[in-house]
Amino acid sequence: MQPAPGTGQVARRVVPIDAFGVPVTVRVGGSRAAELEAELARAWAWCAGAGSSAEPLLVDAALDDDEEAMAAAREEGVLAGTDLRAVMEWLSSAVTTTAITARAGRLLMLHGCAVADPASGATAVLVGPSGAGKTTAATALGTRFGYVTDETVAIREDLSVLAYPKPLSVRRGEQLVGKVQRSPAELGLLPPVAGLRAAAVILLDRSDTGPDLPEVEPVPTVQALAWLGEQSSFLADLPRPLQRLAALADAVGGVRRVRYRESAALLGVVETALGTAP
Amino acid sequence: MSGATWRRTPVTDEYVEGGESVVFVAGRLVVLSALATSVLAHLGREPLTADRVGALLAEEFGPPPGETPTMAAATLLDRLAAEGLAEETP
Repeated sequence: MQPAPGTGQVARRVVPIDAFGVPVTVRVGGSRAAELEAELARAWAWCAGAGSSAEPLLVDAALDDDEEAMAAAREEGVLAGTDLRAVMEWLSSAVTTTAITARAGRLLMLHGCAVADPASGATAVLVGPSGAGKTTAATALGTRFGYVTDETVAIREDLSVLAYPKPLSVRRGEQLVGKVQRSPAELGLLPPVAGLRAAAVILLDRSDTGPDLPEVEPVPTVQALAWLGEQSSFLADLPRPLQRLAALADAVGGVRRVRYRESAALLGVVETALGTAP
Repeated sequence: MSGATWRRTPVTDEYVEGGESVVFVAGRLVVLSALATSVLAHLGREPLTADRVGALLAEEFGPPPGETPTMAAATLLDRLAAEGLAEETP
């Protein structure tokens, strides 16, 4: 393996990640490489591993107190910085983007979070754009259901779902900028079970003026496909992409939209959708 | 009204249900009304003039209020062209 460029004189380390079956190796350098490696291993523990047996895709990162060296490393494409949290945030996006790009044309990949019934693997896919509250929803639901992902839901043609229990990006206290990567274990979430299968698709419509009690309504398939399509990655690379989305919508008994304000209110919605209500 | 004929342009995919449709074209998703969906279906069979499209729509949906079928069809064809879904034949 070639050394990560621009990472100085310090020994390089590697952290293997399984991103919905895509093997991604993060190569870590810089004088604080050990610190970054440890943080990666902690936050990404539920995604640890090599994924498939395919040659891993590489993402280079570095952590060092020398800002000048890190700036030079960034020029070479390394996710390099002097702030651990910033580098971790960049890595989260980079790993996801790398995996999504690798599976273009093969997997249906929706911008969403997903949780699954621990008993059956029946998976609720909650789709929404940035800011729709996917991570908050995953955090709220993941203590009752298995946490599958908070960002990209990867679905095979047979409707099986590939787990991607990545760290969750949450804001640091009251600060307006910057996020910290929290491991799902740290947040008390349940791990996903094997045999995940899409069983419900719910469009998230959260607003601060949303109803106290969540309002769920079916979405006509034509509108649902347009909505889902807008929240898909590399949709055009799939053969017959709208038929693929329509097959998903049909298999889950139609797409629903939920208007809500507080993520805790989603629990009953998902329980009903998955047929797990007590 | 000119005698120009119109035809469909290729799309990545489309899905029709209940008369309405969603079309994936040039990386964009376009939701079409029942009228527009019908126009594309007719153009998919053969190139047609606005006069002919208007007559087919009037037959299927009834006469448009406040304008002639040809005028209504021309407006629809222009909108479909703007979305990259139809074009005048050379």
